Amino acid sequence: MPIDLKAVTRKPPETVRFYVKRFDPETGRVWWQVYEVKTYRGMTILDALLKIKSEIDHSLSFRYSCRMGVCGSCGVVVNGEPRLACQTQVAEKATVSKPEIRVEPLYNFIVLRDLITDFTEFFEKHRRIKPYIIRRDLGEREKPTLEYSQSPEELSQYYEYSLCIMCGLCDASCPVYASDKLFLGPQALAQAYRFIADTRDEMWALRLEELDKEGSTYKCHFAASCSYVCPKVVDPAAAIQRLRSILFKYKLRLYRKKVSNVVPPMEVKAKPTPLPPEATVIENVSLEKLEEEKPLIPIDKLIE
Amino acid sequence: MMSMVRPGYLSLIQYVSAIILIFLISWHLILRFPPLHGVESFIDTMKPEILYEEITVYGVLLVLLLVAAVFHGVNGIRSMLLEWSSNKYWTLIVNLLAIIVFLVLIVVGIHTVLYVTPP
Amino acid sequence: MTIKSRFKVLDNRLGVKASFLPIGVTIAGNPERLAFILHRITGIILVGFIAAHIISTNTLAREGWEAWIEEVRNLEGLNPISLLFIIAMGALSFHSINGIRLIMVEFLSLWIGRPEKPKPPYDPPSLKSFQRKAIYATFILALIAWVAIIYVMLIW
Repeated sequence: MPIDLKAVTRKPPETVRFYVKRFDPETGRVWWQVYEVKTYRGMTILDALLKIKSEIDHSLSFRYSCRMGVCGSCGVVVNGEPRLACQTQVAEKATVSKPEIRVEPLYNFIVLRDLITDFTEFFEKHRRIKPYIIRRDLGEREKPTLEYSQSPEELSQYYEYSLCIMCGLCDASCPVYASDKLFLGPQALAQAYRFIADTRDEMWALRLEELDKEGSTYKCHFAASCSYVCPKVVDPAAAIQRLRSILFKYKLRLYRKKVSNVVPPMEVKAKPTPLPPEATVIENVSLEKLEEEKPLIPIDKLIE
Repeated sequence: MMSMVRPGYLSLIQYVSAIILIFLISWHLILRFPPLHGVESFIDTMKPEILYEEITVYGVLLVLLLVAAVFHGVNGIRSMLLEWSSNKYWTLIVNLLAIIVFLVLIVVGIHTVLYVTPP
Repeated sequence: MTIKSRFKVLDNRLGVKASFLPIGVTIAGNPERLAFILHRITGIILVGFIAAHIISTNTLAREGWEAWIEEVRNLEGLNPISLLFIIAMGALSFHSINGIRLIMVEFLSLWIGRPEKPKPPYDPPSLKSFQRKAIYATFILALIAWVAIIYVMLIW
C-alpha cells in the first residue's frame, strides 16, 4: 500500500477515540467498545492498543510480536481497511475534525476473541500448494552436497513474491475469498507462483495439477485489492495472472520450464572447452602450453 | 455431470469465447448503422428485406455469435453462483440449471435462423 | 473436547456483499475493484438481455414478419422497453471494453508490469503499470460508446 508521507509525519490529535469491535467467546456477544487514548507524535495503532491494554482495559486481547512489520501477526481492519497495526500511524487515520478510529478483526477470518483471528484455514490452504522446493534427486535434496545454479535474472522473477509474511491482509480484502470457501486465496496462489517460477523447483506439474481445480486460480477476477492492501508489496494479483496464463499454456501443452541443475564446486578445475570447428589454429602454438606458460614479464616486476 | 469437465477447459473456453465475442458483437452492432443500408433511421435497418438477407447470408456467423454469447453468459453466471455457496446440492442444481438454460437458448436461437421465412 | 465446541466463534466472512460493494478498500486507490464490481453487474444484466433478445428475435420464425415489425416499433422513441434496451447497451459497452482489458491482463498476463524489488514509495508493479491507465480509458471509452449508440438509436 502506498504510504502518504505527509499524513504519517503529522502530529495526531491530542486524544483519539478508539472504537474497538469486541467479541466474547463464552457468551458470543459482539459489541463496540470506546476508549479515549492520549496520543503522541509517531504513535501507531499497535502502540495505542498496547496503551489501552496496560492503562484502561486489561481484558482487550490482540495478537502482535515484532512491532515493526516483519512478523505479520498484528493484521487488523482499521477504518474499514485491512492494515498491519504496527505499520499504521494514528495520525494517518485520525484527523482533528474527526478524531475517531475504528478497529475490527480481519474480515473473512474466524474470530476467536476480540481482535484475534483463527489462521488454521489460511495455513491449511498455504500447505495445499506445497510451499517448498521439490526435486527429483531425493538424495541431493535431503543431504545437499552441491548448490543449485540460479542467475540474478532468474531470482528477480520470483524474489518479490517470496517477501510474503503471511499476515492475511490480502485474504481479508479479497471479494472472492469473502464468499467462496473453496477459493485458495491470494496468499496461497501467489506462493504457488513463487515456487513455479523458481528455476530450482522441478515438480511444477504436480503443483499445476493441484491448482487446476474448481475454486483455485480461475476464481480470481483481478479486483487487485490484494495488491492494494499488501504491506510488503508482494503484488499477489500480478502473480495470480501469471499463474493463470501458465496454467492455460500447461493445459494446451505449450508450457516449458527451465530447471536449473547443480553447479560443481568452484575448486574443481573444469576441463578446457574445445575450440569451435570453424576456429583457425595458428601453427606452432600449442593451447595447453599457452595456458601453462609463464608470462614474459614476471608479475612482481610489473608491480615494482 | 459438469464436474466431469475439468474447470480449466471451461475457463479457457470462457476467455476464447470472449475474444470471439468482441469481434462478432462489433460486427453485429455495426450492421445496425443506418448509412450502411442507405436507410433513414435505426428502426429502418431492421426491415424484413434487410434482415432476411442478413440471416440467410451470415447464418453461420450468427449461430457462432449465439453459441459464444450464451456459453460466456451462462458459464459466467454459473461460476458466480458457485462462488456464493459450496453446498453439494447447490452445486448440482446450479450446474443442471446452467446446462438446461444453455441448451434451451441455443435451440431457440438456431430455430430462429433455420425457420425464418422470406418476407 | 475441542476449543470450538466449548467456546463460540464468530465467522467474519463478508459473503456475497463483497462482490458488489468495495469493502476493505477505497475506490480512489483501487479502481480495479470498481471495474470488477461493474463487470459483475453488467454481466448479470447482459445475460438477462441475451435471453430476452434470443426469445424476442424468435418471433420472426414463430409468428412471421408482421409480428416482428410490431415488436421493432417498441424501440422507437423513449418508452420502458427502449429504456431497458439502452441500459443493456450501456452494460454491453462497459462489459466489452473492460473485457478487452481483462483478456490482456488475465488471459495473456500482459499490462501488469514486471516483478521488481520493492522500493519507495512502495507501489505494487501491477497497480502502476499500463492496466491502470487502461481502466481510466475503459470508463471513458465505454461512456463514449454508450452515447454513440444512444445517438444512433434515438436521434439519427
